[in-house]
Amino acid sequence: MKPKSFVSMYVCLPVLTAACSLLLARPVAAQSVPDPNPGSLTVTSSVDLTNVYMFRGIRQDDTKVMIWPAADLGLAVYSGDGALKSAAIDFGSWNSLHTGNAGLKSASKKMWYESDFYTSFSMGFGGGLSLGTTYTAYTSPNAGFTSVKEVMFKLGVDDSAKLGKGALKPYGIVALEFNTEPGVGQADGGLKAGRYLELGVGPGWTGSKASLTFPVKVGLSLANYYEFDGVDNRFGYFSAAGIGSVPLKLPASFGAWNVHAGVEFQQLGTTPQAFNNGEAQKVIVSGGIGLTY
Amino acid sequence: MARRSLPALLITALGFLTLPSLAAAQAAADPNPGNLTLIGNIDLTNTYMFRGIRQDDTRVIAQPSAEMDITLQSADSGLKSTSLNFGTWNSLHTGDTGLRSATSGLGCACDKIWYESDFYTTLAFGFTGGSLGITYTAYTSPNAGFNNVKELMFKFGGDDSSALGKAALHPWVIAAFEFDADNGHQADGGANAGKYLELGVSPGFSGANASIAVPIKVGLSIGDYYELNEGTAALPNFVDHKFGYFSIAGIVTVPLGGTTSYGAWNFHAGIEFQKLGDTTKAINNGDSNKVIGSAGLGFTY
Repeated sequence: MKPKSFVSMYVCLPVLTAACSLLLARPVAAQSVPDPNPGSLTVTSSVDLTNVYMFRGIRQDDTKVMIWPAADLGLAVYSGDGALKSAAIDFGSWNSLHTGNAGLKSASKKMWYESDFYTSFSMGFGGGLSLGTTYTAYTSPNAGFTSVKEVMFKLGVDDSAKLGKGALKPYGIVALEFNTEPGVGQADGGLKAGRYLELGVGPGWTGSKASLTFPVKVGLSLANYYEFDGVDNRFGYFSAAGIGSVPLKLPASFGAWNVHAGVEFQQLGTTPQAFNNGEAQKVIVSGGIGLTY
Repeated sequence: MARRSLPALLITALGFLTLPSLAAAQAAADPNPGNLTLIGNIDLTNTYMFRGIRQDDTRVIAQPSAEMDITLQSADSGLKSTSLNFGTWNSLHTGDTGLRSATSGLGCACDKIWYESDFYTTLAFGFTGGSLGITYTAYTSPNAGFNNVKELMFKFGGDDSSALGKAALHPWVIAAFEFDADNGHQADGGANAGKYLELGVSPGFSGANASIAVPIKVGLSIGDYYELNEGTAALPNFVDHKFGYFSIAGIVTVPLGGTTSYGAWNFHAGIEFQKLGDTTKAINNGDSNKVIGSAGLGFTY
């Protein structure tokens, strides 16, 4: 129940951006390679495998293997030199296919646990500031959960220009569920629509042949997001991860491909811990292939 | 349960006709000269027939689709092109098999709109006189409207435009084979995996401001594709009927401006008439004819 995997969210785009930076930093020979896609549409896609699927700290499945195919189409609708530097609209689909208890071994015996559709409008401002508004419909083709509708606002700062390699790239997310009923249309299956807050940073390092990112974040309930036994618990989870990405050497006309892998640790609050059979920690391993074109 | 909707199929057919004008436009400023191509469509229709088999004919049906084509190889002669395509085709129903399924009692009876989601991948080869495509499709129903169907399809398309010019027919032949078909995992819900044959042509006309295509096709069973239970539910007796359906359609496509940095967009609309065989007629409540109207937006980038 999330629009993108943590690998996709924290690794693919930053790392691909970094990869692009690397490519741009190469000498003339590399620069002479024509851009395969100078138009206004950009495709981002990835396929990841993981052992555990946690949605904002809430365990979805931790049995056997999960496969996460995702695709995003971005339309650059504006670019300029004023205060507003860029504007874009994105449409995307994120999916989770489960071979374990929530999929092939569930009552339905169907693999397709989750299919999310999202669309976002994002704006880039001077100073590296960005603001994105995203609508997401989280659906479950195998009826693993009831559909959840959410509007999310994300404010981010790319502080690379000021801090260089020490950039933290902090961000804040506020997400609001709507169209809910008790037990229906909510990530926690609670009584009331939830409001979620996430604060995070994504420092990293980019080398000549690989990139590393170390996203750290905390997920909190602003209201009713982590309900359990009728009580909303403020602290949802804390997460720290390390992810490496290596660009694949393919002809530029096929876009920028990468292979990536990562490990994430989550410390869970009272509600996610209860959903996790009483265990307060979770370790998630994942890896996959990504494309930006 | 169709990999392509009528409009999508016809737009593909129109591709033959519109290539020259598109090429001219693209020569001005190709926004995407690389090896990846995107194709997207969103269509609205009143009836969804899958190879003559009625899926729904109530209220409005929305059919969004997206495809990414990867050009692996191209040459001037012999094997002129090789591509690998991935795509998804979807059908969202506001009527009896979707938002009203709880009332109609069809499918999941759960009032969910997402009747069908197909994933497919195609390996396609282009030759001087035609093309060959091999497609695997997984037809799935998120709202449990039907059992998943897996299929391998071979399509041969002939390019007779150099020989016949404007009178070109653009003929095609499709052979499709269901597999893993136990327990009703088939388009006809029958006893045995089906084998399907389709023969078609798509003559047309391409003008400066619009294109018209008139695809004509016939769908046949070459083995258990159109099975009809002529027994009872308790004692089924599935009989395969050779003739599935005959279809003729007329489609108009109007480019929306030229090729821009957002690709080439079009508006298209069409009407299709289907004459159904015994099995498809029975599934269509005994009515042997069907008229389908549809319209939508498409883009290629």
